[in-house]
Amino acid sequence: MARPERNSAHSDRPERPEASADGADAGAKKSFFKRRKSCPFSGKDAQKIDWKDIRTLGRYVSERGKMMPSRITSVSQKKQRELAQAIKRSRYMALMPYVRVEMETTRGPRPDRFAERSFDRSDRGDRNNNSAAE
Amino acid sequence: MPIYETVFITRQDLGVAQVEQLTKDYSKILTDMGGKILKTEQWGLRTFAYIINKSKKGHYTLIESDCPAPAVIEMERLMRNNEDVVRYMSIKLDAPTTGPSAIIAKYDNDDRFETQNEVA
Repeated sequence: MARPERNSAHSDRPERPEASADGADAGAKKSFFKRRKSCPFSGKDAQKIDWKDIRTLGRYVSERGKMMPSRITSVSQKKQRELAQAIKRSRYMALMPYVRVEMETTRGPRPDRFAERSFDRSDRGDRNNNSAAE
Repeated sequence: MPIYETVFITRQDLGVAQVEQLTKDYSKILTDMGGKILKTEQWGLRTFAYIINKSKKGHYTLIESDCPAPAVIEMERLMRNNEDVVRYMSIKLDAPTTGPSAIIAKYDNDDRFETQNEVA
C-alpha cells in the first residue's frame, strides 16, 4: 500500500505524527520520519511471513500484544492478511501472548516471563525440579 | 500429496524420552497411512506466552510430512485423545521448508535465548 501524503485528505482518520508516535514503538516512529513506503514482505527477496518466527512477528504487535495497523507498518494489504493469520497462529500455540498485561521495558518475545517468579505451590516447585533433572 | 506441518505441545512433566516416543508414534501413523516424514524438530521445553491448563511450560515438537489428509486427521484424533498433548496444530504448506525452522535458528545465533535452550 502506498502511504498517503500527509497533507492529503484522509477522511476518517487524519494522520498526525504526534497522534500515533506516542503509543507506538520504535519501528512505527521510524516509518513516520523515514517515510518508508515499501512493504517489508513484498518484493523479490523479502522476508517470508512465518508463524514460527516470533522475532519478526513481534515487530508487528504493540507493547500490549495487539497487532499494528498496516498504515503504521506500511505492510501491503495482502501481506497484512498473511501477517494477521501468522500472529493468530503464533498466539494459539502460545508463542506470542494474546495480551501482555504487565508493561515490559524490553520489546519482543520474553520466554523467561515466569522464570523469576516464585510460586507458593509446592507441587509446581517439585515439577520444575524434576524437569530440570531430566 | 500435500505437505503438512504439525506442531504439538506436550505436558511439561513428560520426560524427553517420552516426548520422543510420542513423536515416533505419530510419525509412524503418518508413514503407515502412506505418508513420508520430511522433518522432525524438538524445540524443547519452552515457556508459554500465557498459561495453558494451569501450566506455564511445554515441550514443542514439529513434524513436517508429505502425507494424505486422512493420515493427518487420524493423527489429530489421537492427539486429541491423548491427555499429554496440550495443544496441536496442523497447517498445509505450499512447499517443503528448507533448514531448521525460525524457532530453532533463533537459538543458535542469539545470546538472549541461550539460557532457555540449556533448560530445555
